[in-house]
Amino acid sequence: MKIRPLLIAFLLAAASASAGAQDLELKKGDHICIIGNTLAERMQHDGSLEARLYSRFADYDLVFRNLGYSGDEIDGYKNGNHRMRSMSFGSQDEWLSGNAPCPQPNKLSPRDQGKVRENRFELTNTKADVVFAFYGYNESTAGNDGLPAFRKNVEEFVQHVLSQKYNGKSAPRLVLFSPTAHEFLDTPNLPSKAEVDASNARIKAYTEVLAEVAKAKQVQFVDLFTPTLEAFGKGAPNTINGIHLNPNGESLVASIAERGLFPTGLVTKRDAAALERIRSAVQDKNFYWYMRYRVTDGFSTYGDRAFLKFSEGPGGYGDGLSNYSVAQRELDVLDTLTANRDKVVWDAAQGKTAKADDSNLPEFIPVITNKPGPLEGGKHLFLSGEESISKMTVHKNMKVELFADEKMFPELVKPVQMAFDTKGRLWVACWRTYPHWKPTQKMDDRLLILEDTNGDGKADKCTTFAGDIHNPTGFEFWNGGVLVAQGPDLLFLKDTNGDDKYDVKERIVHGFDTADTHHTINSFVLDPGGSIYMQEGTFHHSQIESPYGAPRRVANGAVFRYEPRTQKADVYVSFGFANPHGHIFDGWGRDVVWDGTGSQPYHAVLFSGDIDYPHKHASPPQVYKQRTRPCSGTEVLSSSHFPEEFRGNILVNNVIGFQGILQYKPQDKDSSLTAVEVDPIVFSSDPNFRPGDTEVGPDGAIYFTDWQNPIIGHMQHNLRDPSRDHDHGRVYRVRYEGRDLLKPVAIAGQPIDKLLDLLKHPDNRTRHLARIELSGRPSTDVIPAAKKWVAALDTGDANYEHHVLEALWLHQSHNVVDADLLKKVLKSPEPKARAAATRVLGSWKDRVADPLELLRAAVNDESGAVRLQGVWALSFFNGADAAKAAEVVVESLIHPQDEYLKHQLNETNKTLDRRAKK
Amino acid sequence: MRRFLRATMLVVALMECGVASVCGDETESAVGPLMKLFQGGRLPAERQGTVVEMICSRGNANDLKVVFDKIVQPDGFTPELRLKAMQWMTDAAVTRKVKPAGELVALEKLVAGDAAAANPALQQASIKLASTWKDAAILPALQSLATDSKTKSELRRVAIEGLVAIGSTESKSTLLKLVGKELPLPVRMQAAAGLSGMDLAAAAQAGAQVLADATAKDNPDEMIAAFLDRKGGADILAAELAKQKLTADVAKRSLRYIYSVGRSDAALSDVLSKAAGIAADAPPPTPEEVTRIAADVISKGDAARGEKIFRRKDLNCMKCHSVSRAGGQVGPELSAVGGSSPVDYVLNSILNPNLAVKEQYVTRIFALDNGKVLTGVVIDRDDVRINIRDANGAVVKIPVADIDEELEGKSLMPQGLTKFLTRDELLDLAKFISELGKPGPYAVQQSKTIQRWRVLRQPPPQLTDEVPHLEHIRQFVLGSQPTDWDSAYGRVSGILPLEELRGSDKPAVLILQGEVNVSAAGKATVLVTSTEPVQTWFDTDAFDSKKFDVELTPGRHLITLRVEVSGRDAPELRVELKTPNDSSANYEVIGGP
Repeated sequence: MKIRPLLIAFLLAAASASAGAQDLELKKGDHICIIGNTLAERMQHDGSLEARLYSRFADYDLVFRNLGYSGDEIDGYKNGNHRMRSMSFGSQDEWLSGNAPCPQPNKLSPRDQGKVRENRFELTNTKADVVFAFYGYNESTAGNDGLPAFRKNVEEFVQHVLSQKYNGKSAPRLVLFSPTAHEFLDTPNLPSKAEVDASNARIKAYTEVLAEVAKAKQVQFVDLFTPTLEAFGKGAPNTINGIHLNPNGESLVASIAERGLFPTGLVTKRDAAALERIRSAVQDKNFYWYMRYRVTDGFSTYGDRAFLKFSEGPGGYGDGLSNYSVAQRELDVLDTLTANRDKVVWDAAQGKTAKADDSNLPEFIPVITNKPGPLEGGKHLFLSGEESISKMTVHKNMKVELFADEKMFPELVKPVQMAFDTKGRLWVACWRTYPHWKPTQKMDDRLLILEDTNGDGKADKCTTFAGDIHNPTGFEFWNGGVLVAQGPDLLFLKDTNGDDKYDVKERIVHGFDTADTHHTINSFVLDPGGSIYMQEGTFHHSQIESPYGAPRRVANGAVFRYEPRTQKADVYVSFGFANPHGHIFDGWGRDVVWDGTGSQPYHAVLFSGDIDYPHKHASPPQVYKQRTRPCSGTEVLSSSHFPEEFRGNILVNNVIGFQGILQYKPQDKDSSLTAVEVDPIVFSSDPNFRPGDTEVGPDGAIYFTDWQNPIIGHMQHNLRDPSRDHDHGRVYRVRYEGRDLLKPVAIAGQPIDKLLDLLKHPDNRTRHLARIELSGRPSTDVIPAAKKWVAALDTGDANYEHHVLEALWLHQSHNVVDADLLKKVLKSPEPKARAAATRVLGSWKDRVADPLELLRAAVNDESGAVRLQGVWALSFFNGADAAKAAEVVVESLIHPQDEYLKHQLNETNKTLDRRAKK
Repeated sequence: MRRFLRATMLVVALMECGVASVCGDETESAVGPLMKLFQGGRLPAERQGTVVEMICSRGNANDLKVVFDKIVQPDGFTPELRLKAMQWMTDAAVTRKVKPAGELVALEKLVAGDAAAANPALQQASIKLASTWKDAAILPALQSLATDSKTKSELRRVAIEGLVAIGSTESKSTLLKLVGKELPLPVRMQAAAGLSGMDLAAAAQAGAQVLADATAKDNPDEMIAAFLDRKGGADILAAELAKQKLTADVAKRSLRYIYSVGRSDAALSDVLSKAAGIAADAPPPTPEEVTRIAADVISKGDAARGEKIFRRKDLNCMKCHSVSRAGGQVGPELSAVGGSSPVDYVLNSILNPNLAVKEQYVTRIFALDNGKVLTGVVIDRDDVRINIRDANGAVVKIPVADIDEELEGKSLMPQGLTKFLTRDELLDLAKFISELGKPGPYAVQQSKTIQRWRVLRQPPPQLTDEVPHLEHIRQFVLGSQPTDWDSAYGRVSGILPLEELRGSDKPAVLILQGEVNVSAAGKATVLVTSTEPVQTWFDTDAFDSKKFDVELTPGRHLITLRVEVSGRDAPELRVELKTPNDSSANYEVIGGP
């Protein structure tokens, strides 16, 4: 991955300098701050542009600080909706000038005195002499209509920046960069040639505005659009999705940018290896900078909960240290680590190899626990994984067994989410650095693979698939690899050589907020149609860029829907959650989302209709009311190992007071569903027992993790309270006594026909794994096979309707529209199949004929559940179609109503109304 | 006559035109498709309700006119829908400031006169609607209703509210008459509350006088609430109260009320505390004090005594908090609170509730253009309204158009509650709360006991004088209204202490009810434990024994008990459901407020 073609360095050396253009003037010691959208943000991870400039000005001791941020727009410095940040993140000017006061100094305690800086950005080394601004792609999605506003915004931005003295002495030298071109990647799973051409026409118009304003205001402009448009399509891909650069594209754009910055200067021949050494030093420096600029748990570092103060010794809140002084000191350490690496880069630029000297790091502020344990030194008492079983009360006829613990595998600590792969192995995301990484310590959050190779019911092998990730709050398998949360990014990791360690690591989506790490995208779940859902809690402000149009924005509570095949990221639910954890899909694709804090379950169709930012959905009726809180994870008990009466029950983990797994039986209710509590699966009197995630295993047993921690609250103890455990973690399984465990079904590597037949399996997780396996096979093989499979199905099979629905979902997952198959399921005699197909229709509405007529049938369906889904689907219509959808949707009122239908119609109408008013 | 004609002509024009939005209306209709459906032939009569509601909630003046004409036609709607349509139309005027186009004089006939008297519900709805539209023509009718001593309390309240809504000088002079000393106290309270929206100074003067004249039996809550909801209302009332002399009981009762809604306005709290003879608000304790008290909680606190204190009516804990799912839903459910919260956290939450507020309980304060100030937790918001949950657990809808300012609020948990507690009582209360969810007698309960009871407020003699037969159970129990019942809550152990319900130490017959929601059919055993004689009905099946089996079927079921409570000390009742080993039954006992 790090091999750089030699020729890139010279690629544009021959390009002629544009007439009258001036070189950017750089001075020794200049601080260059990069601002802008994801184009800018990704540059820090690659480092190509910085490396070139460090190399070009090898003895200038330049300081680069990248302030790029997914989704930003040029008016963001004054418009919070175009530069969304969590509370007290710091304004753009504060960052550029390296000057920001403590946000709430009056809340600090006497113990904080003398420990905090007056200027919390004092050590950032921003203080920009030069500003590189990368804006325009997000704005361009507004098309011609948005041009006048864009021109005005660019003018005002330039005027604003030039009137500042970020370095304290003089106005910054500003360079406006245009967006890069939208690259056409010839795949049916990304925007078509026509769509990409239209996008480029828009970007061109916005580039011209940038150029014109730059000229009028006499600031330097670098056109990245024209040369990239020219270069794209002539070799290997330059982007991951058409708009975000891959290493190839970063290198290309860096050379174009250098040429644009210094049009008259000579491009000297560079030794590629030397440049690569500089880039490597830049990447190392930027790692620390990124950890500083995008520090996770920001709400407890500078936001409101930074100012919680705790007692020092047994107690709760008190007048001891605040989170603020402790967390800000860590930022001082990160700033120093970064500055120390500036020197390493300078040395590298001069051909010297140097190691960072970190002898000057500020001292951390030690935290005294407010919840000491009973043992010497305030240590807490931990039962072993086995001993802990004696504290558990298990459902009648069920038995708990230890599958793995930290004694067997010391790396098994702080398990957050787990999942079985298609080989029947258990993957566990471990979060040792929780609540987030402390600088200077090892960043070794992990993704482990646990295996029971001898079939004795205990793991005997543990492989670290990834050992260098951070805050892995969720993951899910996809396309032969795995998607992992590493807020603010979503990573794709893949092992290509079969050693069970990843060798591909890509940041594929940016902009998920991390203000509170346990609110960060979590509880990943794959729906039967191939989309992945991720939950995020309040305080968060997320902005995600898209090759399909405007950035997706949401604040204070959301569920995201991500189609890995098409790289579409959307806000699935915008709702005022406290902190959603837990999301299930039942056998018919109905989904329920839990607001974890209050353990409130919602039937997702009721708040996942389309809604335009910044609006949020009204509160829907709950599925049921739970007696305890909070919920950490959920699962559907769909296992042939358990007696049939358990099938379909919902398992709900609860970690305070009642520490165990609750069980609910779902039932249809009117057009939606409800559930009633039945006997819990297991609960424990061990105060450290915190069941985090639950999943049915390939043997049919219920597996669950134990976070095993005396402290559970994020808010009740200092972020760095030493009583937070970092050394324990368990996995248990629950089996039904007197019934044999299931023989795991072979899935990995099986032929497509076998996998298709597994879609008939009664157990949800088996079908789920078959779908994952199929996601990694070529669509060109899978889809023809699926069509043959459907045609050959026995129509007399009691589950025939479900099997056909599975085939429809498989098409959806492979992004292949089959209108006939869709219509067949829309007319299924089974209402739940019709409802599920109506959901698919919602996603395919732009790719089937007469979607409104199909939905007219849905809202006139005899089943309320189908009508509910039809009303949902109509919320997605836009423009002129919104008015037509509004005509169709009211027909649902001809039929019997209930509280769900009424709520749903109100929500859809609100969205359609707002669009009509636009 | 001319007005009438014009109105009729407009209706005809609209009907000919069909859809309001194409009639050249100024604001385009957002409900064109709904109007088409409403006026077309496909909508069955029994489904009109939702359509009318949606038209009212989103339609423009012309759309509303179509509904209005149906309202004033004697047989335009069913009586139920007519009432609802009037409420929705009132809501449209309040929330969206939209009222029907054209002449609206037809409504005035429903406000007063024989037709009105014959249908009180319709009359009240008409008054509300007409006064929301500030229809001055109904003023004389409202004045006479408000001042007539024969007017029933509820109607008078509506008339007074109508006068306030119209807000003219005539309204004010009527209200000033109604606060006069010669009138009954409830009338004066209503009038003073109404006046607070028009002339706060005069209202405060009257309100203070009313409180001075009140006895502990009079309920001043609503009047005080009116002042609390006004900008500066609490302070002005406090200033007037300082000039009056209140009985200690009235002062105490008023104080408890303001605390129970999460308020502790300093001036009002001080003047009432002084009158009540209790200490003024202490400042929040210092961390050292909390540490000291926490140590005492651990060494001296008694959880059993603490539970009794927690249940005390004057402290209102259970008005907002539930334990074992039984109790209010305003604040956090506390069953497990001790499991995660150390003692000093619990103490701080009681003594200084604003120190740390969990994200879903952060409140917002809304100052409205009309001087009202409302506080609550935001449930959801959209373009036209914000729904908040207030300290009473009630959902209040705030029109976005009326909001002058929105601020972050404090906790709804009242500060100053501890004034009603001795230090020892505080230790016991904190001990109880910090034991909740810990292993032991206050662990999260696993047994299925009835925790949330309904108590029939005024059981008829047919139920109390003798063991009633089935028809009386059908009529007076199963046929009762939800509003006929009060709530009572079991202790953590599942025991319902009956002396709290008996009222005094005299014997009484209580009708109590629990509810079960069954998901899977099967057998369950009902275990009734009581110190008193009990008869039990499972739905309509009567049982005399204290342990009996029932065959549960899916759905909701009622367990009704008739308890002859003697005069003994500590009478108790506990009802638990058990599932025999061979049973396939699945069910939950229903909790809540």
